[in-house]
Amino acid sequence: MTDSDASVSTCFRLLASLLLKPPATIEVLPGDASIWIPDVAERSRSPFLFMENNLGVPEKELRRSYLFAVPIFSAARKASGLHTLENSCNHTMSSVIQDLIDSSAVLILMNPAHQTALNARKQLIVRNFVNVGKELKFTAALLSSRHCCKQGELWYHRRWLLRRIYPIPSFPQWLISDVVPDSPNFYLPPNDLSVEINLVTRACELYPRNYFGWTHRTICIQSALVPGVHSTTSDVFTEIFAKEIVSVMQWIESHISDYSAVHHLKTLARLTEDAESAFLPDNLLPVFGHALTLVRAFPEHETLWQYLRVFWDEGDVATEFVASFVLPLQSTRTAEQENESPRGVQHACHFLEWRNQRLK
Amino acid sequence: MSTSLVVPLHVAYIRALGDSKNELSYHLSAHLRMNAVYWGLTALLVMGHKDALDRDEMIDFVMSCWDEEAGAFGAHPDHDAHLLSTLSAIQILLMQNALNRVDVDRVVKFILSLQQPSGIFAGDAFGETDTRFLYCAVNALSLLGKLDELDVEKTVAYIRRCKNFDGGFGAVAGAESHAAQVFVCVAALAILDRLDEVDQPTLCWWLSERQLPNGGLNGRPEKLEDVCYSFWVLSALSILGKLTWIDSSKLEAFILSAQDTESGGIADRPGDMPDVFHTLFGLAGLSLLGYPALVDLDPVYCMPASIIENLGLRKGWKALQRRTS
Repeated sequence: MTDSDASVSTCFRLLASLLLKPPATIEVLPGDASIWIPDVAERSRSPFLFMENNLGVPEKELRRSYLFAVPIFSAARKASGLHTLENSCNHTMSSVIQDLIDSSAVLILMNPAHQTALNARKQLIVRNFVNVGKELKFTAALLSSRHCCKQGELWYHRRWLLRRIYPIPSFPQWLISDVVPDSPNFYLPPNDLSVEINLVTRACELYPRNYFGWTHRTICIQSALVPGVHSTTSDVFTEIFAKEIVSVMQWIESHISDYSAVHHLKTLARLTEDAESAFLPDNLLPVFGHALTLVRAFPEHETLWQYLRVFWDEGDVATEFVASFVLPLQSTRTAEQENESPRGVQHACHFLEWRNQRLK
Repeated sequence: MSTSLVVPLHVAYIRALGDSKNELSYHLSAHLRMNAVYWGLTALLVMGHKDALDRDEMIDFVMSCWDEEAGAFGAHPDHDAHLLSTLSAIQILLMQNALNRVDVDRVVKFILSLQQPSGIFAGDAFGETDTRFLYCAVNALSLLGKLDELDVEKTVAYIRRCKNFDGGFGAVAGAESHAAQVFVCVAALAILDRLDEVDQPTLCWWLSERQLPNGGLNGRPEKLEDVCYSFWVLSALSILGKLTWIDSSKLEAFILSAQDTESGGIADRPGDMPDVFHTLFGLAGLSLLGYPALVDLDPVYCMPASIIENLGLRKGWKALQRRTS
């Protein structure tokens, strides 16, 4: 091994060990280590930044470690036999297992869509080579990084872990089950639900309109409502739900292009209908008024007009709104070509067409 | 800024894709290599240049991704089997007239084993579910002539649960409408002859609202335009017979402006780096829009229409008439 091979190998192992502490957050930093760690001696000890449990990885270092990890992963995956149905794994395999643990962590950091690396980590957990609680923290750290937090495979990895930690008591664990209201695959105690929601909130700030983040949030709320674990009339459930509605309405106000939040609110509304609880619909009463206020303030935003449609309630308030706001706006349309009018005017036109269709 | 399709450059771009094996980008995309080969081959076929890539090499590559344990294909040698790569493998072998290389019984067993009680499909044994995987399953079974082994009612029932207020479909029941998920659900329903499940006026309206003033299409409200939606949105509209609901000349101009006129390939939007994914879906969109001298594409399967017709699988979709110049 040349000096530079040794140095890449050392950096790779160091990176893996830092990733697997795990840190609280991970950030990939542009450029190479010399920008971030000017002192040569310090840099040769470690080209990574690690302060107060936050890890910073210069991109060029990550790339070097990634290329180094690729053949290691391939060899370790074969040698370990974990991806086959073999159950044997004796103590001489410990360096192979360590290679698998280290290389999969580095691969996933750079390439969070690397299905086979994620699968390897699941297999390591099934065989207790990796601790499921630590993996949950590692995943949380990855999800603090912008390029990771939009990957559906990583959010699913987290739910796979949650299913191992919080299985449904009566649910057969060997049965993979997706989440629909009638067949949840894990249940979440309130504190853990808060953790998930905070994670998603952070991810959605990092990467707006985060599709898989919001989907994860919806699934987690559904999982908190598992029948038999919480009763739909219990205080705990009611509190969770009320808090979630308020929280999402506030999010919409400060993220007025975020239709994902609107959709999530609509899903919550559907869940209240399914839950058949008399109390819950009251929480949703302010939503229609909220939508009206926002559209008046920001008519150029398509999201808000969709918000209005999704919670539209035909009645006196609605009629007044159309007469006092939508019709005047639509009548300012001057351009011959519809798509040359200001956006607010276009949305008003579309809205009226949509409403007229419904009234037929 | 280009106003015409630079076919020779795109052919050269695709041919050169395998040349950069030592670069990081090559390793970073290993997990979707099978898909990339399918995108490249289909793009070449749409341009009428099938022979630009070596047939035997390609078939050897596909077979080197066979996961003997699982009875299906991974994305790359030593990558786990998955529905996404399995579908791409079947499509490639079909387009290369080499489907006889597939162990059909084992692949069918793999596919059917991934259906969940609710009707959705997992992508692999580790259980991530998504309507994309449902589409892969339905498409693959259909191409293999084994659709009769599928529980159609159960599959359709799940798609029904994914239908949202806006007529669109999401990745799972309860998820937001997204144009790519709309495509997979609509195309799956087309294969299963169940387009009656679609709220057509509402959905077609939502799809037409994806067009932005610059002519490009986005995938969800207030997101940026992206060339790949030229396929996801367009194919759904084509399947539902409403391609005329978008401004086709503006979209065409947008796709053409996203070409890299120096080194070939098409990007997600003008000025960005091209990649084989956007190259295929830009070309697919242009084909559906009737761009001259391109081969007809079946929007349900995203494969040359003639191949699908020969299998007796053509559905009632409508593309724009191909222009002569």
